[in-house]
Amino acid sequence: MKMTLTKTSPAMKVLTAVLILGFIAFAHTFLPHRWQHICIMWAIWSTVGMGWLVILRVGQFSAGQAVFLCIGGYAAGVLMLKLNAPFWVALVLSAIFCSVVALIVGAIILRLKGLYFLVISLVFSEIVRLTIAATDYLGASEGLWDMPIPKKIGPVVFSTKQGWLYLFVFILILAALTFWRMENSRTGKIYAYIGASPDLAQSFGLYFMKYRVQAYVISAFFTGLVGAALAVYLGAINPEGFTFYYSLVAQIVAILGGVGSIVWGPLLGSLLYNVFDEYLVYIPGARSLLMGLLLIAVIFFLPEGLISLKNSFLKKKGGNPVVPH
Amino acid sequence: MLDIFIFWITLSLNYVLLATGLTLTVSVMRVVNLAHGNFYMAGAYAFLVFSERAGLPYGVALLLSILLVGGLGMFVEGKLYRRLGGRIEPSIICMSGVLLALEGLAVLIFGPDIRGLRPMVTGTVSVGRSVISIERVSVAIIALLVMAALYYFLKYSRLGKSIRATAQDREAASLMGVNVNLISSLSMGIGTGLAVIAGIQITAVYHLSPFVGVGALCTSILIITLGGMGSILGAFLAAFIIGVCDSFGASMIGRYYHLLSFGTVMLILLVKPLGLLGIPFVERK
Repeated sequence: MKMTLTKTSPAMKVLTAVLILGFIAFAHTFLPHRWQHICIMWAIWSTVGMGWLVILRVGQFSAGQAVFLCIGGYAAGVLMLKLNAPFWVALVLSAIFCSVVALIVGAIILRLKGLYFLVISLVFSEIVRLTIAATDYLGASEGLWDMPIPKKIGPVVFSTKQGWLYLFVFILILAALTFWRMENSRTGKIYAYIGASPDLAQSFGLYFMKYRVQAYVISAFFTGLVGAALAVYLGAINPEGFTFYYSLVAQIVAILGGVGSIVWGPLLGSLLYNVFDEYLVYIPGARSLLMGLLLIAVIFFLPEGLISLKNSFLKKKGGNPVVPH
Repeated sequence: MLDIFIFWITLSLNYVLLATGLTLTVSVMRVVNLAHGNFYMAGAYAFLVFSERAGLPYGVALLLSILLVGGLGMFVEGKLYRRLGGRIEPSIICMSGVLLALEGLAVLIFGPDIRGLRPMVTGTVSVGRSVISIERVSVAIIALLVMAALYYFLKYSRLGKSIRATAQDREAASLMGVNVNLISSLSMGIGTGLAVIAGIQITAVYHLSPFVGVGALCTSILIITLGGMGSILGAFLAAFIIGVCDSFGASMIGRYYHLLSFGTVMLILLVKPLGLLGIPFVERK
């Protein structure tokens, strides 16, 4: 029986599906509101962390993932409040808009090598945030608020946390499946080569810019989708919600969990992050301090993240191969 | 007009300190020190404690905050960064951790509110139709003095030469008998110290809050990218260009002035991808 539980076997798929359904049923029925909120934030940051990780796979260290949350959120806000678009249309259009922005910006800045990309993505994210904070149409520093609650579809009602939980877990599954398929296919191998050495990959006939932009656009799509849904879930949006800290959170969840696995790493890291986040948010500063110390500790004592603990528990050193990055 | 002109000079000279500090730490670390802006912020808060809570005179408080935060920078370089062996991703992550920890500590101790810093001198002088604040002139003079001293130190002293040699080629410098570990710590200390001076002076003109670090980081990144990473003269030139955008730009086009400096940098990078005076970046083996 042990043989059938490989990564892609049908048994594993069934097991995963049962686990997910079980989780949703449990969260729906038994969890108090506060923990349902934690589950929602967990799904959100897992998706964002996966988006960050896919950019890392193609050898670029992004320090500005918050910009996609920001663009997605504001696009949804403008579509729903100013143009009276229905929620579902706004959700999809915002994600597409985010991808288009990523396509244009990515085609320029992904050419930059390592350090330059890091700093320019950081500066780009801050500039977008400051520009929005200065634009009256987008509510300046006050932001947009009074987002309408989406109409219910079937049994899913969005005036309660349960409805949102379904939506965000659905987005998370969508993202996880996409990234999982990408990682375990030819694309994933190409990404790993490009991440290891873009010049070498190019000399083998892989035009690295194509794959880099591809990864960037997919990452922006899911991050934008989550950003749009998050803006409507919270009901309000303002530029202070997209500071550099939130770009760092995208990398924190991936690194805490482990960058070796594109799906399980962010899932684990995000769980840890959000539990801390929920209980520390009332002490200003404690969250940043703890996350900073945790990040340093992980880099020194657990460089492969929490996921590597699994191998030490199973006494299986060097079990899963880690994709080079 | 004259007051904006003086504001430009004041701002640019402090930007030079900030960016030169980042250049020095980049030359040691080979990665952008993301915590640079938060050392700037930490320096300003240290000054706040020494000068306002402890009531020390301006000069003593300045010196003590440079020593304290510069020492912190040296500690981070020696105890954390160096143990990572120069690998790029872990170094960036480690410095983001330092950034977050500093920001969190500042919020915990001082609260998230905006506050002002005591200037060295106060008062204004009117020249013609413009009113000039003596504070800004004094800030410019201090920055100029620090820069002159730094230039002399890097150009002529033995340690300064070792710093430049280590920045150029770490292994070759080591073979010539330079203690590169000591020099790395020293460069980091000086770089952080410069950020502290800039932090104390710029936040005295603007305002101080635990979140000013990222803005300062962005400004200094724009400057060293524009000037060319690793070039001090380039940082000098670029600081004055960004200074124009942030002083004249801010008073002329108003709230969108951030776009001006970003646009300028992007335009120049299109023509000169390595920055104004950039040399190809030497990667550490």
